[in-house]
Amino acid sequence: MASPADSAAPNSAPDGGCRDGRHRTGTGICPACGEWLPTAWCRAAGCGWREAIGEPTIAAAVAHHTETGHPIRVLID
Amino acid sequence: MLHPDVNERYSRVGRDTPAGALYRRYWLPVATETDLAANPVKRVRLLGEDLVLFRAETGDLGLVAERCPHRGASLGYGFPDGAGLRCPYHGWKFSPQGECLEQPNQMPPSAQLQARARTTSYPVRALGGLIFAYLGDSPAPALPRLDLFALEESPTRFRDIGYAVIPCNWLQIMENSFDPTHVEWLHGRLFNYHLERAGEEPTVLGGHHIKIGFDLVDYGIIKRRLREGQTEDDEDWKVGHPVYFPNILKVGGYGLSSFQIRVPMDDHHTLHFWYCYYDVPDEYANLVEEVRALPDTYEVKLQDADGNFLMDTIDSQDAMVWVTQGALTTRDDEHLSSSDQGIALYRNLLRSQLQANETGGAVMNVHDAATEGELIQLPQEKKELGIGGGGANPMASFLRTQGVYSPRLSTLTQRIDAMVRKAG
Repeated sequence: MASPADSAAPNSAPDGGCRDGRHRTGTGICPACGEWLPTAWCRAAGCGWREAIGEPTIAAAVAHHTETGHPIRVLID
Repeated sequence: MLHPDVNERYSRVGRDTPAGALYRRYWLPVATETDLAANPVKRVRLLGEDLVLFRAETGDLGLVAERCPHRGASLGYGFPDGAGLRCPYHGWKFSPQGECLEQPNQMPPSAQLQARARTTSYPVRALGGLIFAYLGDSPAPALPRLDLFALEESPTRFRDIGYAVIPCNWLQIMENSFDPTHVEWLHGRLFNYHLERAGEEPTVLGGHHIKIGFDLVDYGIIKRRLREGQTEDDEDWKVGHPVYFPNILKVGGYGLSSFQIRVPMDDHHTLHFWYCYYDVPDEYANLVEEVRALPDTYEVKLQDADGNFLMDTIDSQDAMVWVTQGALTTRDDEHLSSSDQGIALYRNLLRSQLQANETGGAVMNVHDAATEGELIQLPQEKKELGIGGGGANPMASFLRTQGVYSPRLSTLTQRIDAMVRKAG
């Protein structure tokens, strides 16, 4: 399994979801392709940023934090 | 997994490497004040450079290149004299700023030769009993006044600083800080296996994790865990363990407050500090004065004489898994699981900071010197976790950590044991 620290996450579908397609908003790990399925959300009041796009979620969380400085929680059930 | 070139980019810390350039933006501890008081000249290896830390007779601290510009001998065997450090070979003398102050047998004296013999030097500062060095470009940033560095000893509190050279790359050690579930196995199930064989009381660290989470905050990442039987109101989840980017983990509980500080010496060695404060229960406060008369600095033993890692402390167990990955581990053959997402988050944060440093952007925790002195408070658990196995002695379970090598902690624990026995 690739980690999102890699430039390419080989299990990720072009739309950013799990290749299986059914786990876009899930958490944990995809039983179909083994991709991680974390959920990340912004804890800054009024921001509302949220992401659950499989492995690229973590890179997206860092990008949002870098852009805004907002605190973000990444959760894996 | 990480491609080998990405792994190298994240791991290596030499002068012309991305991570080396990033680390040169930070103040890094290289010794303790107690260490330097015992011997005012100390050889130091930091970010691939061989250096000598010294305290001149004037009290000024200096950090200069180890190699003498005269004929290359080690200044690490030199001696302080007045305002500088003398080379052991021919007595050339250098200031903390690297100026060559004297060349005793050069006749006639040559100002030009003296100027040419200037050596590399770096700023050093003392804070909280540690001595920090800065190897980057001027101006140096603020030396962060993290909360524990600002704590002071008291009639019920003492400081303790353990250190060890860990023979592996710094990133392997840091990744462990984002890996909550290893506690359940390495410090729970494995430790209990060894304790059971030795006929000793088990730890309480084997609880199964049911949820882990990570908060990306302005100073780094907070790691959270929820184990069977816990709720989100428990400190393990509510408070968690903060990591001050890039290399300081804060942990504590039951009277302990501590930083684990990982300082890259080179690509294959890391100087690890366990920077601890212990708050002693009031009924044993009369013992603290005696304890504080002992040195606050000690070396932590991780391996036996044959090189086998000791399995009797939490910290030597950690060192075992860090070092056995290899001096600089490969990551193109790893198989990360869902419990490793904190590691992925840290790698992503590291990637973003490497990029920011390369493009002239703001880098996390590098603050203008004008902000110096501002207290940086980090959250800390008070009553969660624990270790187990201390019996009636409230400090004894800390002897299952690196603290067992502390003269202060081990003496205190012996004294408390005697009091407990006497009380019957």
